[in-house]
Amino acid sequence: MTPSEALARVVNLRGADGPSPGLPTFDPEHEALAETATDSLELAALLEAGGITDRRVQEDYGYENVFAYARELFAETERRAMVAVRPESDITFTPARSTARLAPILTVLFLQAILGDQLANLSRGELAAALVIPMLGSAVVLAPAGYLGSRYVVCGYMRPGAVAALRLLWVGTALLALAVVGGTIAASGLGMLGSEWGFATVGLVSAALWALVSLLLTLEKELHVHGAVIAALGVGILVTSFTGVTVGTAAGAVAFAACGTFAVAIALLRSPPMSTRVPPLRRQMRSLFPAAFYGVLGPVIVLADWPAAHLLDVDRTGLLALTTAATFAVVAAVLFYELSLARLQRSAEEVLANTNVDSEDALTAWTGSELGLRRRVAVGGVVGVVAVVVGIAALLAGYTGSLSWNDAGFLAMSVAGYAAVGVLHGELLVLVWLGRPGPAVGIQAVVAAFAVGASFPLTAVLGVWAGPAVFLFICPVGIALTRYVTTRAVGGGAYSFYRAAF
Amino acid sequence: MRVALVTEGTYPFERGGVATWCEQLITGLPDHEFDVVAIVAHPFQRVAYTLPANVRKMRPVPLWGILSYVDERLDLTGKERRSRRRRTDDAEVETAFVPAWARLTREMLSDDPSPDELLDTFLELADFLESHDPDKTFACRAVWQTFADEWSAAAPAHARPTLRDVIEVLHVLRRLLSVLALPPLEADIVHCTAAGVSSLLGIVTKARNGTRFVLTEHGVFVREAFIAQAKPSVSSAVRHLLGRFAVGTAMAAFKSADEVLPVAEFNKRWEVALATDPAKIRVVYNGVDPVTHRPSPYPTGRPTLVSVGRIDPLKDLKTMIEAAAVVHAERPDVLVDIYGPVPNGNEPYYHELLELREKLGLEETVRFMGPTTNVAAAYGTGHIVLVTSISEGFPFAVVEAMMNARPVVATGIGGIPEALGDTGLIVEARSPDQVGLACLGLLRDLEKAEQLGVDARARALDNFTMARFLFSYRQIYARARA
Repeated sequence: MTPSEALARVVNLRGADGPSPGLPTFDPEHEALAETATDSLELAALLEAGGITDRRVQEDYGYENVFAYARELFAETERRAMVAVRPESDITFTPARSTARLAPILTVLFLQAILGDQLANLSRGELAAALVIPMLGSAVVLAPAGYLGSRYVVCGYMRPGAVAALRLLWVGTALLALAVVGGTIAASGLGMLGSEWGFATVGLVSAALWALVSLLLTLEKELHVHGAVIAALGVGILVTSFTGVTVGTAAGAVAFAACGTFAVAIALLRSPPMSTRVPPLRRQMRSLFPAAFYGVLGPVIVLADWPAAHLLDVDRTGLLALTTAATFAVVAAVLFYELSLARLQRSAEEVLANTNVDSEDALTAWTGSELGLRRRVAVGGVVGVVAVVVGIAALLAGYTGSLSWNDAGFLAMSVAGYAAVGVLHGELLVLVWLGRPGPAVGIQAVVAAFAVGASFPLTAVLGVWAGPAVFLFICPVGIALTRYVTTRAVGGGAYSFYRAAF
Repeated sequence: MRVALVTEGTYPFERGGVATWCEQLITGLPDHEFDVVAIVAHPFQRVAYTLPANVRKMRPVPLWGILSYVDERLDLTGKERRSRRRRTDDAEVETAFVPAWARLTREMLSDDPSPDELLDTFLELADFLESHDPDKTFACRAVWQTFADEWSAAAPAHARPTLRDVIEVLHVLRRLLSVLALPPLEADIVHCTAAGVSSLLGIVTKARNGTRFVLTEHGVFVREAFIAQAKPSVSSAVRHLLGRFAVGTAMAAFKSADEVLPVAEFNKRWEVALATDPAKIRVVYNGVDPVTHRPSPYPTGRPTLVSVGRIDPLKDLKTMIEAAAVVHAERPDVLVDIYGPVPNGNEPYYHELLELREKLGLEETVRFMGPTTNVAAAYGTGHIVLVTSISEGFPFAVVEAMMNARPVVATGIGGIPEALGDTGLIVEARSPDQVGLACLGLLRDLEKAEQLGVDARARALDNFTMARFLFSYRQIYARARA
């Protein structure tokens, strides 16, 4: 039997175009299927998927084939529209998860502040040794990795090259973590010779902490965030040793920068997987997460820096109370934002689902009026709340004298700047409708870190308002410039490598 | 001879039947050079195959997950990219793009779409998108307004779109249509492996360069698109529009293609239903290497049923597990070994299968063996091979089982009846009882089962060998020279 004969055994066309007398017209189950079908071809496809063959419709219903049966069934059935039953928003109210994520951030932040206080006892040379060695280590490992990746790409082996480079980067980052430890041990050696034993201990703890953070970030492939953390730490503290801002304050701000980038990474890792359905809408709502994270972490920086800068003079009970209060405040704020974002998404989906295209000027409703207004309120709310909380914290710090007004103002503006960058960053995501925003955010994190670094000397030279103001300018421009440079000037090959690697 | 092989969601990034077919074709024709253009979901996928030496280059074309389509055009200089962005303004889009865009929407939604009109419209859109910035084009308000107006006017009462539907669909369409912004392929023949968006590259290449365009259909793209959309999370309006888009794309592709090459006669029905000229349709069956798939002795141990294929709802493994329960009731010593990977995204389905297995108390009977590199050995362990799919083209699982001289119990879906002829047992889809009873019948008479396997191998040797498959494609490619 040839394949065609075998087929004829199944599809034994009778030539009939309609039902034979005496046979049932349609199966009730098929009628139910037809009620929600949108097209006779769709109905044919669904019938076939349900096991209906040409032979079956010939024998049971007398139609020529599945298409004829589906056509007739579709024409004869009254249809009902199906409203999409979309899964409940995946922005969920999860107190346990949020708390678990915040705990390591707060730990890193607080320990960094203490480290900053300890570092105040060091000479500039010792500081430089502690920071330059790890940075050089990073350059030594990462630069060749990037170079090799680019070479492979240029040679035309784009993907294998990128994969190879990615592996190198992974190894490189692991080595970098070791370099951080090694560098700090070396610097601690210097500390042992000319300074306190306390620094060696703090240095080692800090190095181990950063190695852990590096490892975590590496596992998540957000290597740029890792780079930003190192850069922020190094640039910030080095520059601060030449300025009038106290080292404790600077260390707190640098820790804030590090935590900010870390927070962005976490926020983005929470982003939904790429979806063929409504990516922009969901992402619009998701894009507010960075803003929320930036915003709520800011006040904690101010409060954590306060006891850290005066660790030896402050009542320990008060310190504990403050830290605990700050932690609770942060957790509560994050939960509040998660909840409100979920509400916002639901209300946005309601607006869209209930707006018939032909019922009004629909596009205006989408782009300009109702949803747009709700979104603006949400963004404005984030910035406003952050501004109020930061202002109160700065006033508190200034009045109590735990920080100079100069330092308190500086920190407050930095925090507000971060909140604004968070919003900006979210808006950027909305505008470009990224499928996977990791690479772009990696770039942005680096830019933000360098912006923080640059804001220190500017503050020292121009006064307390100048640094954060310039910082606000640097971030958006830096983001745009980085994107331009990455996609165009560096060249397609390198960009593809970069893209493939992440 | 240079062949531009355009794949969609398969080779070389995803494993599966179509990817196996591609690999067989490329490695089997070492005197042909292949440029593989792989339409993929996003740029972060990893290559799953080692590319043979005659693959001259491989270009992934991601639809999602990229910043800018113009930036994806690595063949353009920075100046050319800037110029594309500059010339794409609202006025230009309204004048040169929107009229064709409106026609495409209208024609897609028409009760009786014209393949010629669809083809012309796709080409007109391609002319614009190739020389402009697709992102800026689809950000233009007129594009959205026109689409909303046309859809709203043409939508049937049961599938009227809401604003959310418009946003949802347009974001999908703009990604799919980004393929039209690619330059035509440089090759002697362009060979697309599905009548989906990948075939738009074939259409454009043929129209611009006069390159011969052949189209192989494995599953039926339109049918599978309809099945994929039919779920509660998709509104009627979205289902309708995306279904019509699949129909429109396939009709234009069939119209443009010089040869349409389904892998089974069964698929022809759909192609003819989509207004394809029957004269240009020619079935080329998949082939299997009879040396690799040399039959091993028929097993004598515990009765074993084997299935080889990915863990996927289209394979309807729930029916297989339920059928196992039917067999287990009479033959408690039966084993059902399911070989195959769990593709990304199918984990929830796999967990449903595990739950069903537990619910039926078949933990000791149904075994998930994971992926295997030695498929022939897997078939060799079974007394019977099971295929319970609800949608198939011409499945390798059936032909390989036949070549391994194993009796097959399979659903009468797609090209399976053609493959098996009278050397296997055909059952209805989604019918665990029929599958179970067919298996029990064979297990009661193993001599008959073994003989059925011998007959199946003889049939496969006559009709479905690798040599025959490669000979067909060698001839098809040679026609491009003529």
